[in-house]
Parts: sequence; structure tokens; C-alpha cells
Amino acid sequence: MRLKKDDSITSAQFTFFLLQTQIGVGILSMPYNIHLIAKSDSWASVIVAGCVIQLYLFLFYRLTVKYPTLSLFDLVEKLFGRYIGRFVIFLYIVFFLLMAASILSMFSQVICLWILPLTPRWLLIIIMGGIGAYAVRGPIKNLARFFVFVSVLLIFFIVLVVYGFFEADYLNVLPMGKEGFMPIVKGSEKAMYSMLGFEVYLIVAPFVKAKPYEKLKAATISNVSVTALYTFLTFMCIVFFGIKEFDLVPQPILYMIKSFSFEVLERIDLVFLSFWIVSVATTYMGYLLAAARGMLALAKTPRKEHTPFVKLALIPTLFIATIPHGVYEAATMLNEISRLSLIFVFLIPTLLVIRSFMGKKKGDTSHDHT
Amino acid sequence: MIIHKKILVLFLSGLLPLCMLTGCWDQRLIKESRLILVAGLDVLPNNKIEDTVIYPVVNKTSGSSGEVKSVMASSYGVTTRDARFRLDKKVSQNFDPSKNRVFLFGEKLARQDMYASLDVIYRDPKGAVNAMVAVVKGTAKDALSIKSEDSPLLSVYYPQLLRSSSEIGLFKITTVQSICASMFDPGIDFVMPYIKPNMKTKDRTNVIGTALFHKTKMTGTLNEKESLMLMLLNKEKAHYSRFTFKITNKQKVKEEDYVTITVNKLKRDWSIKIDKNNHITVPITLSINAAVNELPSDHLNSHQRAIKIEKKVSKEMTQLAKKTLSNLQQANADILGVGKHIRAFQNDKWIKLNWDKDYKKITFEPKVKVTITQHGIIN
Amino acid sequence: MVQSSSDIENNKERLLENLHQPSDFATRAITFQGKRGLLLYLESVSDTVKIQKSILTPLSSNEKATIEETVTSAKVGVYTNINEAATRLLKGDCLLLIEGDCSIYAASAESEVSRAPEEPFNEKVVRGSHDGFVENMNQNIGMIRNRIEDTDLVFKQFSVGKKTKTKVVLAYMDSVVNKDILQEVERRIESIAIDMIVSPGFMVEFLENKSFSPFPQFLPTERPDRAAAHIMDGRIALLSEGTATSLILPVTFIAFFQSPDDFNSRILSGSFFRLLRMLSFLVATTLPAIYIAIIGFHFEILPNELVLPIKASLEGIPFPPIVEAFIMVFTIELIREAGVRLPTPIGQTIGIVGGLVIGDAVVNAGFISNVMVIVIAITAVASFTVPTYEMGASIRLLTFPLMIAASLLGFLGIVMGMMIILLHLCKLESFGTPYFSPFAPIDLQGLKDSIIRFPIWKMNHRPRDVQPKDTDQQQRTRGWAKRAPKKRR
Repeated sequence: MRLKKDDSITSAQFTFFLLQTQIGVGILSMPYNIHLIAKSDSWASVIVAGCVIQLYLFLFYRLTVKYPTLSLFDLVEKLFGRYIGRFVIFLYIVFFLLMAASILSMFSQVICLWILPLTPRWLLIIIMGGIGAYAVRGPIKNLARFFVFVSVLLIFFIVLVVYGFFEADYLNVLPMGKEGFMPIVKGSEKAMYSMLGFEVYLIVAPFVKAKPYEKLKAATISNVSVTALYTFLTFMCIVFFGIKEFDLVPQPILYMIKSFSFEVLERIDLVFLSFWIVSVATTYMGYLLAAARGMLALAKTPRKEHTPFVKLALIPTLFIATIPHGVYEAATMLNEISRLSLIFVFLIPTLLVIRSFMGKKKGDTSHDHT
Repeated sequence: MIIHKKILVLFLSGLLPLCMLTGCWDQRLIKESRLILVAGLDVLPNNKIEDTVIYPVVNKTSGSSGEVKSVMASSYGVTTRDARFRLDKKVSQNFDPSKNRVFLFGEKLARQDMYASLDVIYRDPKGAVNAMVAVVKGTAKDALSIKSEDSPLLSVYYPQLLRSSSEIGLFKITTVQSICASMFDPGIDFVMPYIKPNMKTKDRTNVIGTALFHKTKMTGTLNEKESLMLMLLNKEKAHYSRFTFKITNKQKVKEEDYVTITVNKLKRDWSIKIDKNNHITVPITLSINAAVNELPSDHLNSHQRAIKIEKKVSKEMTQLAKKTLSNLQQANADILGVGKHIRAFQNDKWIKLNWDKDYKKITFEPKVKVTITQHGIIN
Repeated sequence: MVQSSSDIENNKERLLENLHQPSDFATRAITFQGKRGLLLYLESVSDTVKIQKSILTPLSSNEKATIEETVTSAKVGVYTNINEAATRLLKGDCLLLIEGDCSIYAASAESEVSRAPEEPFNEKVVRGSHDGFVENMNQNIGMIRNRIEDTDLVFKQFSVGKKTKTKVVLAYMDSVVNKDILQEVERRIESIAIDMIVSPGFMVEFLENKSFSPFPQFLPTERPDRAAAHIMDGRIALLSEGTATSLILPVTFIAFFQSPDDFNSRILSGSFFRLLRMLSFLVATTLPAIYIAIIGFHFEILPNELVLPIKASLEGIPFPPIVEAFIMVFTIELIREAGVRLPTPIGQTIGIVGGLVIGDAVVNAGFISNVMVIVIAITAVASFTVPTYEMGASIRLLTFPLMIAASLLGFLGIVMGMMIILLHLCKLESFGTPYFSPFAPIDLQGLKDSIIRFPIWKMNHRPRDVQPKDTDQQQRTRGWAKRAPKKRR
């Protein structure tokens, strides 16, 4: 094709890109995970987590202001030096692959648990992986289009859950702050794990055709929406289940929706689960893209396209995803790998920001944009 | 582009053999399932669980649709699941509980632990948590062995019976899911419809009130009137909550002694007062706007006359409320969720309470004020 | 390269040789200003009346002027090359050879074999123009010109097919069309190296990006009003000689669901029909799959009142749902395919035999459940609701993989299948314009004319997917309404 190929996305697409990457596999079990720690104040934990993430979005913004054309991997290499930088990129690739794999694994476990108990898990993993790879191939703008389009489904999420208002008992959230402040903060760690995905900001931002503050605005809209949605979901779960029953249901949202019935559709949880699959797929695609971009940065090929690396990224995720057996192992894996995000999503970008400011003092050596 | 197509081709050719496997894995065809539509659980004298199910059988002679009739089968085992397993051995095709619409519990089982027999439903992703529940005076098997005149299918009869009873204000429809939260919450308890099959004629089942539960056990019952009152005390107004009271004693025709009112509008004011000795007083005021449905003895042509009836009815209703609440306390069933309110709004005091014992000690001060606002189309 | 000589008999022999002694070759001896001459033409492509009127009559009356001045044909060419002259002969020109003159005169005399414009068979409308393209290129161009009387309207001619030399014309608005797209289209047309171009289907496959995509990427239309409207949007219409079908490119997915009728009916009803068609797309692709998934995997989703009737109808059916569905779909496709090319009365018979007799008998025999017959029938009707035949066919094709996926994995399979289709739609581009616009990338302006239609006076901009140079198509329409102050009330 001789037509001009210009792989860029708008800031609105960027919003949905982040939104879809953030909302994912965690949506089902997040309220439960937080509840284990923060009890009836779980919803506050989500807000705290949202605030922390917002703080990091500001940090990311600082980086994009300074290096608008550089992605996370370029930055790592630039600021940490060639050898350390490349090693860190490698670690990032591993992290993203692990995240993608644990998402796949959790996905297959939930599907096995809820609708297809006898279908082999590897089949689900392969199909999902194949779809993810198909999506990630080609320009990012195509992926962004898809993400924007499927965001319509999020409205159904909300509508389906809103129905729970009719059977909710608001006394369940009272008294607020019963457990004290610490559980809220501790619970916010769990909430944060479910809201991961905003780190693709650093990878996709260079593709966004907008001023840095517009990118920040887009990311903020995404984060606020995710926080609002998760707070709402968590709140609904608390008022629906109360504190004691909540302990029994590890996928509270599905369980809640399962008990609703409409005239035409008796079991809405199946519909919800179908929409949830799309959300999981988008998150998986986000991480797969991140991993492929990382490989591209590491390989240093002249063609700046990540398409050839998608296969390379896909295969390890498929294998790793089949490792855990049973719900417990998959949940543990997702949890442990999410914990790595403390390093990769929170620590290293902080170091990058610090390093970028140190560089500024030394002199203008780092201003030549590659 | 070329690689891309190759992958697509590979993908499709991979799918093809899979298509040959159609019917494996999770397929469960509706035509090959025995749909359980009503299930009843009893406990046998030897402490085994007896599971009775009603399922439809289609008699398809020829042509499009066949005749559906319901068939009963029962078996017993050490747990619900075990009983179901034994049932599967008896009946052709496999049982599918996902479309279950009504669960009936024998009273004896209900007075034991309810959760144990419901656990299997909660745990199953296909479990019918929307199924209505009711407690049967006698055994559930009796209730399932009636031949209803109203509908040939018990799976239609029982849901309709429970629904119509809920419309006249006897209870709110309870499902397997709706009782779950209350089962675990120490601050609130639940009720279930209480029904009794007519064992002489074996053609109908009567709703005789509500069964009161404390935690997971049935601890008492309310009769119809008390059930109606409990609904009002709980701030639930059904379409037609009707009460009939005796207001005079002197009419020649017995029927003329009575008045029937329908609750149109309901307002409940209550507060929970805890004094220093941790004694709890709960004043409840119900303000009811009512319509007179039946008053054969007199005519409401003057306002005075209406006020007189209002007073009488209010007094009767207050009496009824008192009786209802004392019944609740006797059964230790905190249906109104007093404990939950204390926990939510006076949490410091809640921590000190032992609700299992303290609930019986609280004092309810019910007061019902009835205002007649309508009297039908004649005076 | 064979040069003509002054010997006319020799020239004639050479021409005949070049054309391999055609049987429809006609020749007539004439005299012009005393010199002997020969008039050559092909009976099949030349119009004898024209020859008589514009060549023979002037030649016999005028004795002074040159041939070019004498002949009153619209075009007269002079050739000295036998090959070129032979080509002109094939185009319907009449050749004049004059004794002692080396040049061959070619006077246009092609016969206008064309039919009268009729309403296209498969793009009927209730209201509006009942005009349709014909096989004759000039007439088609004229139809477009009549609708757009603007100097910006450009017709650019190409000749495609090494042997057939089919005339292909690109029609576009010079001031609106995106030049990058135009260049790309021209480049692709010029690069076509094939002996023969017969139908638009050939052109489509040579020009489109993804030939294996189930979705048509060019909009075929036989309606001049539709073509003109698309040209005004900044798209390009590709007309080719000998077919009544023009191709509109680049187009979007939504264009296949639009009909000129939408704008001829009132806004509300027009929007309703649009919605109906979009719904029919969803129904036609997913309904059988959803039904299979429900009765095979998730029957708990059925409302209580429906479970028993469906169970009752399925009782005793020997096949699994997927086989049942395939049999029915296959039968319906058979009926359609059988009826499509038959004359109308026989076609109707087939419809009745197929629809009523087979449908009823198959249920009575207990092969297929009646619910399945209902489902497949609704699906078939829905797929024919799509105004474009090509899209309808694509949709019917998409049903199959979804049905298989549903029979394997239930709802999960359907969602996965739909995701692949959606991803494909998002990735598909036709000449650099996103195919799934205005849904992806989302374009709020464009959505005004998508699943519903806004009032025409609300659509001030051209669709953005083709990136037109001139984005405004109207402004201050209904000026009267805006000027009128409120006190008019």
C-alpha cells in the first residue's frame, strides 16, 4: 500500500485504550479481595487506590512532557544506560508476559468454574490467545478502534449491576470506618492490582496525537471512570451481600447478577460473563501489545512495527497460562504477579522521573530526541 | 499479509476437527435433561434426607408439540446431593436442577439446619438461586403428591400459589438467594411461607402463615393475620393487604359484626432507644390509610361514624401488632432487623450486646393509627 | 507496425488479415471526387443508418472539400497504421480508403445498442428515482451528469484488459475527492494486467485490499442517484463498459445498510427502517448461534414459561441442534439458489414447495423441531432485509462459523466469534479509509447518518471516513427558520 501510513490515535481513543486495559479480569473478584481486608469499607479502598494511581499518572505526565516521543522502553534505555536499560527492558517484557499469562489463566479458570466445567482449559487459553494475537497485529490505531467500540458493553455492566439496588440493604455499609483506617489502606493495595493496566500509558502515549496535558486529561478521565465503576461495583456488592455472606462468594458480582431474573432472560450472569470475556480480552491485548513493543525495543529492528513479535509474545503466555491448576493456584499466581507491579509500575517509573530530573541538572545531554 | 492468512487457515483447519467433536465437553441438551421444576426436602426418622422432585414428561405422539405432565420421584441419602445421586440412578436421563422454581422444606428439616441442605444450590454455578422457598407443615413429599385441580403441573401451581399469596400481603416472595444474606447476618432473620397440603382431598395446598427463622433454623410460626401484620411492621405493603376485625358483638347476623379494610398507604416510624442499662426499647408507630372493603352492618355516611370505626380498628391492629412482635421474640427471630440497625447506627453499643439473648429482652411499643380514606363506591 | 499503402485493395487485404477474415465484414465501393474508394465497416458494431446519413450522402453530394470536411460524422480520425485502423474498425468506426491516398479515414458510426433505463431489479425503492444504469457507458455517464451539473465532476477513462480493452471510467468530484485515495485507485487500475475484464466482480478482486474478507469493500450499485450521492460525498464511482453495475469506493460498512428510500421517507420512519436493518444484521448473524447455544448449553437462561414448550418441541428430534440448524439453513439456501435464476412463476412455485411443504413436512416427520424452523426462517428473512445483496450474502456466510462456535462453546463461542468479526471490521480498510467508520473509529458527526438518520439539515458535513478535501456540504439550509424570530408565534 502506498497510502500514507500514519499510526496515531486520538486522545479520546487513548482514554478508552487505558480504560479497557484497566478493566479486566479483576472486575469479578476484586470486591471480594478487598472485602477480605477492608470489610464494609471496601469501597473507600477503591477510591484510595484510584487516588494513588492518579498520582502516578501525574508522574507519567511529567515524563511525557519531557520526552513526548519516547515510550517506556526508550526511556529506560535512555535514562539507565545501554546495558542496565536493556536488562530492565527484558525484565519488563517478562513482567508483561507474566501479567498477560495470569490474565489468561484466571480467565480460563473462571470460565471453567462458571459455564464450561468440562471444556479443556488449554482450548480456552489458545482461542483467547489467538484472538489477542490477531488483535494486536497491525497498527495500534486498529486496536484502539476496537477498544472504543467494545466500551459500549461497559454500559451493560453498569445497567446489570444497577438492578441490584432493588434488593440492596444500605444498612450493610454502615457504620463507616468501623475497622479503622488501616484496613482501608491495606485493601487499596488489592484494589490497585485490579486497576493495573494504566501503565500502558507510558507505552501508548507516544502514539497519541495530542499535547501532553491532553494525554493526562485522557488518562485522568479513564482513571476516574474506572475508579467510579469499581467503587460502584464494590458498593453494590457490600449492600447486596452484607458482610457475612460476602465471605462466601469469591466472584461476588457474578453471584449477585445470578440471582436477578428478568421476564425475557432468566439468568443474566451468562450475559454478564459474555461481556466480561470481552473486557478480559482487551486487557490481555493491552499486555500483549506492551510485551511485543518491549521486544521491538529490545530487538532494535529498522522497521518500527511490532507485528513480527506478537507471535513471540503469544507463545510464552499460552504456556505459562496452562501451568496453574485449580482456582487457588490461578488466583495466587495472579496475585503474586500483580505484586510485581509494585516494582515495575510504581518503583521504576518513579526512578525514571528522578533520573530525568537529575539529568536536567547535569546539562542538556538528554534532549536529543531519537 | 501472507503469514496472516496462513495463520487464519491454520486456525480454521484446527477448528474443523474440533467440529467433529461437537457434543463433547459441556453440551447438555435440553431435550436430554430431566428438568427438576419443584423439589422438596424432608428429613427421615433415621436422619437421612429425602429428596422429592417433580419433573415434566412430554408425551409426544406425533406432530409438533406434545402433552406435558408432571411426574414425581423421590429418594433418600445422607445429604441432599447424595439423595439426588440415588435419584439419578432410578430415573432415565440426568437431572438438571437449574430450572427449579420452588423448593419446599418439611417442617422437621427446617427446624434443623437449613443451610446444610441449601449449600448444594449455592455452590452450583447452575443452581437455581431464584427458586421460591416455602416450609410445609408435615412433609414436603405430601405437598408434592397432591394432584392440583388448578393446574395439571405442580411446577405452575406452586409458584402461582406463592405469588398470589404474596399479593394479598401474607409475605414477600422469598427465594433461595434472598434468605442467604439473612442466614449469616446475626442482626437480621428471615421468614418463609408456611403451607399445609390438604391431605384429605389431596387437591390443594393452603398457605397458613409464615415460618419464622433464627439464623438457619426455623423457630416459630405466625398465623395469617400476624403474617399480614409482620409485613406492615416491616414496612412492606402488598397490593392488597386486607384485615378483617370484629367490631361489634350484637348483630343478629354474624357476618355483620365484622369490618374489612385494605391498607392503601403505610408509614412506619420507629426508633431504637438504648438506655444506660443496655435495655432496648423500640417504639413503632404505623400510620395507615385504609379503605373500607366490607361493612355490612352500618353505613359510613358521617365522618363521626368513620372515626369510631377507625378507633376500633386501630385498637385491634395494635393488639395484633403486639401479639405478632411477642411471637417474633419468642421465636428469637429478628425479622425487623433491629440488630442490624443498632450495628449500623450505634455500633459501640452493638459490640457489647449478645444479640442471641438480648433480642428477647427488648421492649417493642407498637402503635397503629388507622385513618379511613376510602369506603368504596357506596357509603 | 504495418503502414498503409496507396493501394486500397492491398490495404483492405491487410486489414482483413489483421482481423482474421471476419464474417461480419462489409465493404462497399464508392467514388469520391472521381477517385475510386472503399468503404469498410463491421456490420455487427456499425450503424448502417449512420453510415448512410453522415458518410455516403455527404460524399456523393460534395465534390470539393477534403474527406474530413465532407463527412459529417461526429469524429473522423486519420490513420496510416493498419493495426490502429483495425482497432477503430472494431470500435464501430467506418473506414474510408481512397485510391491514391495513403491515409485511412475512420469515421465514427458505432451503433448504439442499448436498452432503455429501467429500475434496477435488486435495488428497488418505494419513492424517488426509478432510473437505472444500462450497459452503455455513455448513457451512464450522461445519467450522472444530469444529476451533478458541475464543472468539478470529472470522468477519467481507463482501458483495462489487454484483449478486451474494456472502457473503465472513474467518476469523482475534483474539489471534494481525497487525492491520495484517487491516486491509489488509479495506480491499482493501471497495474491490472489481465486479458479480460468481464464483470465488476473482476475489478473488485483486483482492487480490494483483502479479497478473503467476508465483507464487500466496494458498494455495487445500479442506481445513478445513489452513485451521484456517493460522488458528492467525495467517493469515487467506477463505471465500466458493458455492465450496468457501477462500483462505489471506498465505502464503509454502514453504506450497505442504507437505501435511498431512507431519505425519501420521513425522518422518524426512515430512522426506524435503518434501526430495523441494523437489527436484522445482528439477528441474521447471531440468532441461530444463540439458539443453538441456549438449547445446547445454557437453557437455564430461558424464562420459565418458555422452557417447557421448547423442551416439548425438541423431544424426540434425532439430531443435535447444530445438525438440525445446518439442515434447515441448507434447505433454505437451496430454495433461494433454486429460485434466484428461475423465471418468476417457477420461482414462486419453488418458494411455495420449499417453504411450505418442506417446512411443514419436516416438522411433522419429527426431523426438525418447529422452534428451529422458526429461528432459521427469521434468520433468513432478516438476511434478506439488508438492502445490498452482497452484504446479505456475506451475513448468511457469517452465520455458519458462529453456529459452529456456539455448538462448541456456547455463549463463549459466540462472543469469541463476534470478537473476531469485530476485530476484522476494525482492521479492515478500503483505500486507507476505515471500513467500520463511524463506529470504529467513532465519529459522532458520522453517527448522524448511521443506525438512525438525522434530519438532512442537521448533516452539514460530509462523511469523514473518506477524508474529503471539502468537508462542508451545506450551511444555513432552512435559513428561513433561523431568520424567523420568536414573535412569529
